[in-house]
Amino acid sequence: MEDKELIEKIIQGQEDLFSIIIDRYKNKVFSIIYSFCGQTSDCEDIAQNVFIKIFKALPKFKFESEFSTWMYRIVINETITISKKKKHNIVPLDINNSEDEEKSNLIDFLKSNDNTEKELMQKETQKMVQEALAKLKDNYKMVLTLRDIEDYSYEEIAQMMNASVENVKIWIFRARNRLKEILTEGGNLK
Amino acid sequence: MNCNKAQELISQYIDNKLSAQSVSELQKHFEECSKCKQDYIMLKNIKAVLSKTPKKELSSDFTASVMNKIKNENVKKDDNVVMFGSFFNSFKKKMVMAAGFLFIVASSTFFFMHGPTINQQNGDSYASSGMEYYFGYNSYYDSDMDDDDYEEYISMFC
Repeated sequence: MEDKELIEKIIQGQEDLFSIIIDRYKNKVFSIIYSFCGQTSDCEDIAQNVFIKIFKALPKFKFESEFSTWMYRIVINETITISKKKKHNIVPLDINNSEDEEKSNLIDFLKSNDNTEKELMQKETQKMVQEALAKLKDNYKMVLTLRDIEDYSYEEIAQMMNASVENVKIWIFRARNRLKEILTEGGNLK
Repeated sequence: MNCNKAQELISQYIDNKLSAQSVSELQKHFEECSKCKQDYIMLKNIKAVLSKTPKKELSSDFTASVMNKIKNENVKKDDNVVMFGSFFNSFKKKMVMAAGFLFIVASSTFFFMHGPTINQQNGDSYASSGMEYYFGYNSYYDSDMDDDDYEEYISMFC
């Protein structure tokens, strides 16, 4: 059954059919939340709350766009909102506190043109890049999550964030450069 | 190609979004400019690390848990949900904005009527006061938000 047909039936009272919508999108939705929130343990709770928000909002769906586009806008908004509320609970991430040797190794790694897959997945490197990502502004962090971690296209991200493709390109360009600054210069720049 | 142009294109080059001609010009620039080439390598590596971010599987009872919450908590549909990028679209939000705008206009009128007295006491010029005096520096004037950032910020909601 197509999404729109399902949504019509759910709105008319067949609420159990919402389980089909959850099954259809839960992995992608959870993946975005898990990546954006820095792989914290409460991501599953956040994902549950996001689906409840979607359920509550269904009567507002006007059938003018794809359901998935409309749904992802809620996912992104709720993820950013919940993440902001929880920020005070997250341990501050600070590249400046990393050991000099670690920072030096990271910069050598970033400058190298022949890193192996094993090196890319190295726990310490992953941790430092994730720490730097957490320092970005929310819209920058979201576009990089969607583009570089979740592998969505510019066009898909533009639809999900209700922005133009040109804006998405600019955000990605600036986000990557800001991330590089944080990683190489400790995040003390603007 | 100069360095500014090259820097603008590197991000799209990493995403394989450039035309063949732009790729050729950029690669030629890399041969002449080690700084831009180094930036390209670093950005490419950062993207590669991000693409290897660990994933996690959802628990098998996720769907049942959500459906139970919906049933047990008697969740009502049509809650106030704010859509990303459409904050200003709903009628209620427009009413709140209108009220806010009226408040700002009223506050500004009050301030500009009484402002000179305050400024004379402080020895400041009239031009340097205004809204900033009452509200502090708003986000547009914050030192960490330039014009481009402000345009982006606004474009998130419009």
